[in-house]
Amino acid sequence: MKIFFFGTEQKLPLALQPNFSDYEDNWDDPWFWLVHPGSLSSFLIEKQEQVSKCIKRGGAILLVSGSPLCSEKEAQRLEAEKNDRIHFLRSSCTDSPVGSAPSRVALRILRFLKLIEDLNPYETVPWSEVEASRWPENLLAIYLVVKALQTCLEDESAIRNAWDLMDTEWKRKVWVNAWNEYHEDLKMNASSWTDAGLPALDGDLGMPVSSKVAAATTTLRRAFPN
Amino acid sequence: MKPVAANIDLDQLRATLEHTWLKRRLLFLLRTERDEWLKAVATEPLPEVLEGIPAQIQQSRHLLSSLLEGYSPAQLIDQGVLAALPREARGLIRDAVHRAYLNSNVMQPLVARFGTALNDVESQAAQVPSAWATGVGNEKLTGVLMNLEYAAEQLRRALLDLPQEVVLP
Repeated sequence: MKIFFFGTEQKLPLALQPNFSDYEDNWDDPWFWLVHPGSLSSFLIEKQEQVSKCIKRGGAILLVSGSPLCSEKEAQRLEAEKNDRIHFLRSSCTDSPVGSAPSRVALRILRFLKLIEDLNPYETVPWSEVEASRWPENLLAIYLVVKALQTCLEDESAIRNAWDLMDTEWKRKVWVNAWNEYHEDLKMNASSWTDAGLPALDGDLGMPVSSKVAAATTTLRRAFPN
Repeated sequence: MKPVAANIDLDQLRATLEHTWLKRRLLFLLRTERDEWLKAVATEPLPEVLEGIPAQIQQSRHLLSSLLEGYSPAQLIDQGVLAALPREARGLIRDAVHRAYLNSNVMQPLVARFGTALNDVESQAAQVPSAWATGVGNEKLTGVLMNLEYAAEQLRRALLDLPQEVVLP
């Protein structure tokens, strides 16, 4: 499919711009639109007719933005409404969860556009290829705290105190979510959690004791790719 | 947790340097236009892409100076779950995590490689104007352009080999 850029050009990385074809105003060709809308609502309302034509011809639309577009839930609703022929880059959603990383958005889009060039009209668009892999947010938080405990012994008690003084419900939520990410999402072994001195969810919600910090660090680190 | 603005800029700058400048302009033109350039007379102005190298090197130096901080997980502390912690505690965790990241020594070799490759491009590019001035069919210009192409390719590879994500210690 040919690729057409639609939006605020100066806000898009220069690296992406050479990929665009010149737009031709004949709707016989299916187009893949890369859209950087000034505002989501105005784009989808004002361009309603063109969006429908694009999709009807087997095209598809990726919406990217440097500024938040909408919530992830709203994005999912709009995507479903268009039979998954449109997609919102998740890092642009107002409530996007912890990403892997901030970096390589532009290069990832470039690689994705290469796939799109070889795509035929109406073919399923591999949207997952444009999204960053996500790190488990709560596990990441726990890991960073444990790593800090391991690295900076002189501040260990201050960090532990700050954690212990946090609201019990907040701590429980973080630990429960971290456990779910560890065991349910990543399918990691349950016994490795307790072996590493990580807490039982119905017990003390503190950080691992000093003698277990190294083991906890090693265990939690396995949840992340690099 | 949202990506921080500094890293978005970093990513865009890297993509622009690797893709727009090196791959699609400098390397492409060095490979496709070199024979034409070698036929040019000394009085002809330097091609725009060669004349523009110092400006791109300046951008690359900006990227180089941002790399070590840009990949640090310290930036994750003030986002998401840990944002609820008191500021002082976040400061302690941030410093400790950054120290662990530096101790892991993952980025330093990559940064050094990028810096060396950048110096090589700068050094080769510095020879272009005088070689160009010697005129048609000179062997010096041929060698300089070949060396520049090699150095630019090494620089591009150094950019491509940078991690895809924040580096966890």
